[in-house]
Amino acid sequence: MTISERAEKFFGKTIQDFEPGTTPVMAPDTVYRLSLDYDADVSMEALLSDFLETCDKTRLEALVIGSWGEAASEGPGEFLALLAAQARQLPAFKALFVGDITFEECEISWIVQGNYAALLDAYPQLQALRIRGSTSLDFPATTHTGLRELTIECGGLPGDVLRALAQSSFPALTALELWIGTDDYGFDGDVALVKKAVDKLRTPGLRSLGLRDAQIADEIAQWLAGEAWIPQLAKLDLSLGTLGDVGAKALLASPQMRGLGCLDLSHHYISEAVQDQLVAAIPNVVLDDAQDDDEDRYVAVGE
Amino acid sequence: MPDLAARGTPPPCVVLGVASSKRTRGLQAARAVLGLAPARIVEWRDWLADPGRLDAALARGCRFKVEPPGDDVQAHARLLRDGAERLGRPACAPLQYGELCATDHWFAGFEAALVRLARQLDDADGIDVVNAPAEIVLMTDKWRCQQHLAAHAVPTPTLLGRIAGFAELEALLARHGVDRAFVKARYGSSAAGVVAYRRNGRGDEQATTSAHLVETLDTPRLFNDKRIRTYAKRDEIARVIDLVAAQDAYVEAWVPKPRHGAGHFDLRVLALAGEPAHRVARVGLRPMTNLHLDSRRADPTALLSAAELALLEHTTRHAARAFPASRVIGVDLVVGGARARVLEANAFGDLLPGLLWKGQDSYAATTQAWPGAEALS
Repeated sequence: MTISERAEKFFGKTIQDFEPGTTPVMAPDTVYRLSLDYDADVSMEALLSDFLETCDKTRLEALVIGSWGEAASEGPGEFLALLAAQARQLPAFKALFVGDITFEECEISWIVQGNYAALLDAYPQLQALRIRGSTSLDFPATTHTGLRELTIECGGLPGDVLRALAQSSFPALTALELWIGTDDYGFDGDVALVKKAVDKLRTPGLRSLGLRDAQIADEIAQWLAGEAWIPQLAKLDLSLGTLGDVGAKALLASPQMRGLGCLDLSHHYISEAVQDQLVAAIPNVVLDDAQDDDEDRYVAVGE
Repeated sequence: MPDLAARGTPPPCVVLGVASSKRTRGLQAARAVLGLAPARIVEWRDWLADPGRLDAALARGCRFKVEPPGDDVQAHARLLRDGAERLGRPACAPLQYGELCATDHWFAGFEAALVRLARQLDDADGIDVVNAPAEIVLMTDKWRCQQHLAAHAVPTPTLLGRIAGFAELEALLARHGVDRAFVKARYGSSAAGVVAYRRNGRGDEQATTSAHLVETLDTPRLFNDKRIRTYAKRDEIARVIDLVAAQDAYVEAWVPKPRHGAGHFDLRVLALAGEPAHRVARVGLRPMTNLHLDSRRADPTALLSAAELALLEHTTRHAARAFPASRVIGVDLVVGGARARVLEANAFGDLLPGLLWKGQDSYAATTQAWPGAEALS
């Protein structure tokens, strides 16, 4: 699988494409997506500027940025700077998704990302940040008291990002989702480093944890199986990775997993026998998209 | 064109085709539902071996339709042999099932066969030809077809040029200053031999294609597959492109497809007697959206605005006018915003099982679609 699934919803709002030249309607249940074809002759900065000029800035709550033209060669720096500079005029702004980009538009591991420090500084009220792509992703150690949901989707999460997260503080965090990926596409850490980041960001209020698309899914499952804090979660998402019987048996042996509202293991390499045991033992386990374990194992997203 | 309907009895229908194929079965089923006698099928293999077989079928007035020979291994092999001879090249080794090879030989054989067919049709009286052989040939040569469309001011993706191999692809991209393009086998049908190539500025490359590269003992080979693969290693990409280009290939601009739900979409519209009829959006997760490659069908009216639907119809009519002697044309388009681009015109574009337009499937509609069409008995 690759990312072509449109993000139909973001921040609880239905995503709607912004048509340049039209006037944005500030409906509370929709969020605009700004995107450009790779051969577009305008920049995302210009498109965003037009959008901000025509929308009701005092009511803008959320924004989805799709492909910014050649996302494979240029990062989001310029339009992120524009957004940061407008912070005082966007008092209601709470949620940002940078990189709602499909496989057709740009291979996920090619998406050039940027630095998020100024943006996070400028928006202390930001509640949700979702980032797709990890090439050149510069996510410095940050303290942010407003952030509730942080998602980083990528084909391989760089160790530098994990180390920065391990020195960050998001006391309001309720949902954390990190796509670990593979070493072919930038993941150069290990399970200990992932643990370090999660331990630092694991607030008492954390309800949803996703460690997805992981080449090291079995090791992650073995680690989490021994964690006493798992029952605080409503959802644990280990989908899209290469989870097999080794990790699944560890989860099976862990009494903490049984009370989860959802344990998502979709896209897995678990044998049928162990799948049956999981279904019997863990009421809310999801085992969709079983993979053929005859050959090499691949994560779902990552080329 | 003789007014066959005025004769009172439905005229016979003769098909040069493959009796066991999905297409022929669909056509016969539609005729049965309409209360018409079955079409007389002249097998491609029989006609290639003995053209005289068609003369008897053409002895009295009829509707005549050519279906592709592709489903018959024997006919395919014969066209390959004839083509190699015509090109003065040694015949290639017998192809394995699904192998994508020597499509240029195949086309040379096909073209010669349709030239013979055209003469045979000219010599007969009262034949109502659905798609003229010369235009079938023109549409099957995708490179010439795109140039023909462009010459008729039909909007198409920019043609970047022909290539003989991967090195020439790179040179072409450099010359045009682009990092992505579609490479297409000149004589490939549907997605066969289509490669979506792209690169970034950091040395990464990708070739996404339904062609499966198989490294055999002595030589690499390509096979058509229903699974789309992405090659990311430079040497593999080069081999895939080289193998496609060895059969004659061209490069065109990568037209961004509009996004919807689970992916991106283009559209297939059937032009019947020049008018847009059956239409379907093909939503895919990969750059190829052909319906046999796991793409989903969607209703164009749900995806396009009224203005875009009007543009879709206008552009389909425009493309169909470039082929005045063809009354069944499958037009593939990308429509988005204020633009439409024709990706392909297909002389055999009516294989759209179950897709209805005004209550009829494509075969029922093509049986009745134009002046002189057969009346219901």
